Amino acid sequence: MEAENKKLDQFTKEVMQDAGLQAPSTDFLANVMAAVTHEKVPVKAYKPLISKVGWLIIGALFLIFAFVLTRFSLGFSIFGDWNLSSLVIEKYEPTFEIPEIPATYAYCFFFLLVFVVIQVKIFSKQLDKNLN
Amino acid sequence: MTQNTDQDYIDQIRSGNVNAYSMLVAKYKNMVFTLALRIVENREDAEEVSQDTFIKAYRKLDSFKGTSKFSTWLYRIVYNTSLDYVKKNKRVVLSEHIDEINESDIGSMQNALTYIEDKERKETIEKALLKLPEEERILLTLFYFEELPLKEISEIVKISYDNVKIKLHRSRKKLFHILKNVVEPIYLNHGSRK
Repeated sequence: MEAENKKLDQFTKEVMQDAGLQAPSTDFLANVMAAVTHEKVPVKAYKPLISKVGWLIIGALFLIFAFVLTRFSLGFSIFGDWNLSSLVIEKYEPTFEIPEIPATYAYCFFFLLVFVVIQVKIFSKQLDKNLN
Repeated sequence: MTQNTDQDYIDQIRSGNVNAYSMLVAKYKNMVFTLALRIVENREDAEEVSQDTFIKAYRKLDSFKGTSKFSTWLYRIVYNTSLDYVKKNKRVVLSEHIDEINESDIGSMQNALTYIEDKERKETIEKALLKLPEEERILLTLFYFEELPLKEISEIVKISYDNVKIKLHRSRKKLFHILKNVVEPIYLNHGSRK
């Protein structure tokens, strides 16, 4: 079976090499170039939104934060007395009982919202630029 | 003198030298045309599809990231453009029945093909290829003529690596059977004339 497959593989290779390539008409190149020259689309280099260096910096910062946060305890909160969950509850004076929101969860949610708002701004600007 | 790579030409085009594109067109026009022809089955249409392919590629050159080879990217465009053309024309290709093949069959087929004149052999193979489904023609061309690795072929035709392997195996067998049916009568005819 293996030998048959090998032989069939070799046979197909010879057949396909024999078939060769077909050539288009002689004015094909000229026609394509004439069409392309009339194209007004600017051909610019592809640039990712976040460059390789950017990703390296983000990765390094992430690793540093992860290392510091898991290895050392600061003994105090960088947010001090600022309690987001109590702020929300006090400001809107809810008429129903709201369960205590864990501080970590509240901060994460808050920063996620900030990031989403910033990203929406950046992406819409980028989109406008591309459309123009 | 160092030879320019595809990326060198792309960089030149991006910096405003549109003529550098002619080097890429000249380099790939035959392969692009052959792939188109093996799908659309008509020289005029294949020429149109090939031209569209190069124009599309030029327009999309700003989105070419360079993560794959330029040829892989270009072959994907011609493959999709040709399939779109076929879809518009709604052509159906009948599938070929596959029987088991043994070594002596292959040997006698190789022998029979050598008796056919070069030009006639080329035409016979081309006709046999056209009896395969479009996807299989392209798989065979890319694998056996262009000698692309399976991974690149899977990127072009957008099917998994394992699926490319299976389909290649199946299309080899199908092509053999088609050729056998076409070549044997020619061979017998040649033999009776001698």
